[in-house]
Amino acid sequence: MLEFVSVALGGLLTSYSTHLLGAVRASAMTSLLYYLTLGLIIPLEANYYGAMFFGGSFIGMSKASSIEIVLAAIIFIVFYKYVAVLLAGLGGVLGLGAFLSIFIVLVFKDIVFKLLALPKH
Amino acid sequence: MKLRVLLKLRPVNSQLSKKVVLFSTIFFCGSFLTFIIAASLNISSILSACAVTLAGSLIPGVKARLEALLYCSCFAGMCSGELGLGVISFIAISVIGALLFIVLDDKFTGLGGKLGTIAFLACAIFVLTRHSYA
Repeated sequence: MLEFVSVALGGLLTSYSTHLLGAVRASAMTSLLYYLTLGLIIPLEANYYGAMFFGGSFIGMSKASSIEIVLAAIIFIVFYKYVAVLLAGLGGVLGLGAFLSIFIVLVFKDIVFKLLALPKH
Repeated sequence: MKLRVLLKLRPVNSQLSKKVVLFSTIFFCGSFLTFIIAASLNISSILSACAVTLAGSLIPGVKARLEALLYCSCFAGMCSGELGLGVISFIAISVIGALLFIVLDDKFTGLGGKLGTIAFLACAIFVLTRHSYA
């Protein structure tokens, strides 16, 4: 559960603070603060949940709504658990997961909206 | 006669080549700093990447595009020490990463994780190439 909270929180916090700081600074600053906070509360798990939040913050750098970010967070957790393990050690794996997650959500949304002939809002 | 004329090559776009050199240099600084700080201080690479990015973004005159490049380079610096990467490796990764960044700069705008994907591709291309020729 804390995994989902970390990813979704990362996405939503970054998304909201992007307007104030810019996407890059918002992602870096929120991730740094979350990691340091986790380090004080649960130091042994800080790396794992910090990585989750970091990945979530990349999702939050997208121009997407809160619901899309939360849906992408679920896909990201699946990616992190089953795919990222195979690519461990390479830089950018979290970014790749975030990119694929939000891409899948937006493509799925596009397909659904086209099938139901709904306006894109 | 110049070699370029002999080989009938097109003149090099000097502006583009300057851009590649500048972007590669920034990419190298970001990735190598992230890697070295994480390894030498024995701290998490997440902490190191965020600190380098925030420090870089505080430099006056740094535009959003260069901030993005620096953040991208920090992801490449999050590689594990077990891969045995050195200075030469990071130079190669930086050149690949800078080229990918220039090519994909105006693509996939508004999609998060693009910078991480560029860093991942740069690292993966280098590691796979090295593995093939080792």
